[in-house]
Order: sequence, then structure tokens, then C-alpha cells
Amino acid sequence: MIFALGTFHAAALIAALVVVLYASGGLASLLSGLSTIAGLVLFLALWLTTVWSTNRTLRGAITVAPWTSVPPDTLIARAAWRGGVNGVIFLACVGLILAISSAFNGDLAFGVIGAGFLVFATVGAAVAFVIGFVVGLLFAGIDLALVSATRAILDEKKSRP
Amino acid sequence: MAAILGGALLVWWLGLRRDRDDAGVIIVVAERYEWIFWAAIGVQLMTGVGNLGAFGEALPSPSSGWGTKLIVKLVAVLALAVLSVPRTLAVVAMAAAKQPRPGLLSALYGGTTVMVVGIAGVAVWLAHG
Repeated sequence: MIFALGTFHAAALIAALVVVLYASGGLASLLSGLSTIAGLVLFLALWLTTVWSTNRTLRGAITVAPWTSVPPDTLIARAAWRGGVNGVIFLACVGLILAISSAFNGDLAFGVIGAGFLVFATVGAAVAFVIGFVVGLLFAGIDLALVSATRAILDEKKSRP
Repeated sequence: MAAILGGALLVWWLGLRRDRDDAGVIIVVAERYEWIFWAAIGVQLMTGVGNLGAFGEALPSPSSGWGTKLIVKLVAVLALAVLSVPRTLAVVAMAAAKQPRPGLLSALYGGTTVMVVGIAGVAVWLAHG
């Protein structure tokens, strides 16, 4: 279930971002600046960090069924915090992947690495935490709504003659 | 796509048979399918975005006919992901309670099959301009 929810979060986030960016005309310039391998590795990194983050959020919350004894407000707070942490970890992955990609392309100097690291480690980390926090909060709400929908489906079908 | 569609069809068909002796088998197959489904969704999205990246600056405008079809396809994939979460949770709940419900499973997987066929149709429509 953790793998499914984590994958759902990563996939839904990327699909929604691609729709918004494509509809606003910003997708072509973004993707053209990224090599195919770097793009695939970035998605893989987001996928892995999001499954890990979901695992940490739901740790101890799952009993024998998807229904949990942990209060919803505790889960929402945990999801928002873990979302923020996930944002920072993913940003670190982005920095590393782009640095390796640039090094392979031969267009990276040590000065650029130093300046890039400072930006990533300070302002970038703070912004990534806030974005991750908001996304975590959003997905916590969506997940709780989907759990309610599942309960309704199971109860409705059970009550039928 | 073949794994997503084939697996959904299999569980749908097993559920439709409504043979009580097979109820345990259906939930085992459904649990395995959920792992394959979510792995396939991740891989599909990863390669799909990679394919879009291959267009680069030549990516058709969102206001073009092709662009509209692409947006329809992406929204349909997003809807499939959202609507699949309750199905996965229901399978987990049934497996944990050891109470498989073939009728409900066939309804859930029938819905998944219809959606996947619809997305495959849009993908073919997109590929042919």
C-alpha cells in the first residue's frame, strides 16, 4: 500500500505539473534544456524519495486494513512535515543529478559548483521545504478523501441485499 | 500498458465467474496486480515525459489539435491514478480481512479496464496526428 500511495503521489504530481506547464506553454523550453537520461533519473529520484516519504508518514499508522487508528490531524501534520523534508531531499538529488549531467557534458567549472551549492543549500532548500510542505498537505487531504471514498464503496456494497 | 490492461481484464473475468471456491485466488491475483499496476504507472509516466522531451522546442502548441489530444490523455491518466487508489485500498482491506468480494472486485476492475481502453484509444488517436 505504501508503494502504491507513494507512486500515486509522484505520478499525480508530475502528471498535473506536465498538464499545467504544457497548457501554459512552458513545457517545451523546460524539457529541451534537460537530457533524456537526466529527466528519467530525476523522475526516478522523485519516485524513490516520495515512496520513502510516504513510508515515514504512514509508519505505525497502518494496522490490518487501510484504516488507521492515528487521528487525521496527526497524519496531516506528519504528511506536511514529511512533504517538506521530501522537497529538500529531492532538491539535493536535482543538484547532484544536474551537476553530474553537466560534468559529463563538459560545461561545469568548480566555481559554478560552489555557487550552485550555496544557492541550493540556503534559499533553494527553504523554498523546496515550503513547496514540499504544501504538496504534502494537499496529498494528505486527497488521501483522506480517497480513504473515505473506499470506506463508502465497501460499506455500500456490503449493505446491499 | 499491456500489463495494466491484461491484469485488469484477468481480475475482472475472475470476479465475474463468482465461484466462491475461487474467491481466495482472486484476491491473491488482485494483490499482485496492484504492485504491477503502480510500477507500470510510474514507468509509463517516466517514459511518457521522456518522449515529450525528445520533441524539445518542436513540441506542438497546446492550442493545436494534437495539443488538445495530449491534454485529454494526460488528464485521463491523472484520473486513472486518482480512481485507482480506492481500488487498491479496497483490495488491501479485503486481503487483510480475508473476506474477498468477487462482485465488488469485478466492478472495480471492470471500471479500470474501461478507463485503460479509453486511454489506449486516445494514445492511438494521438499517434496518428
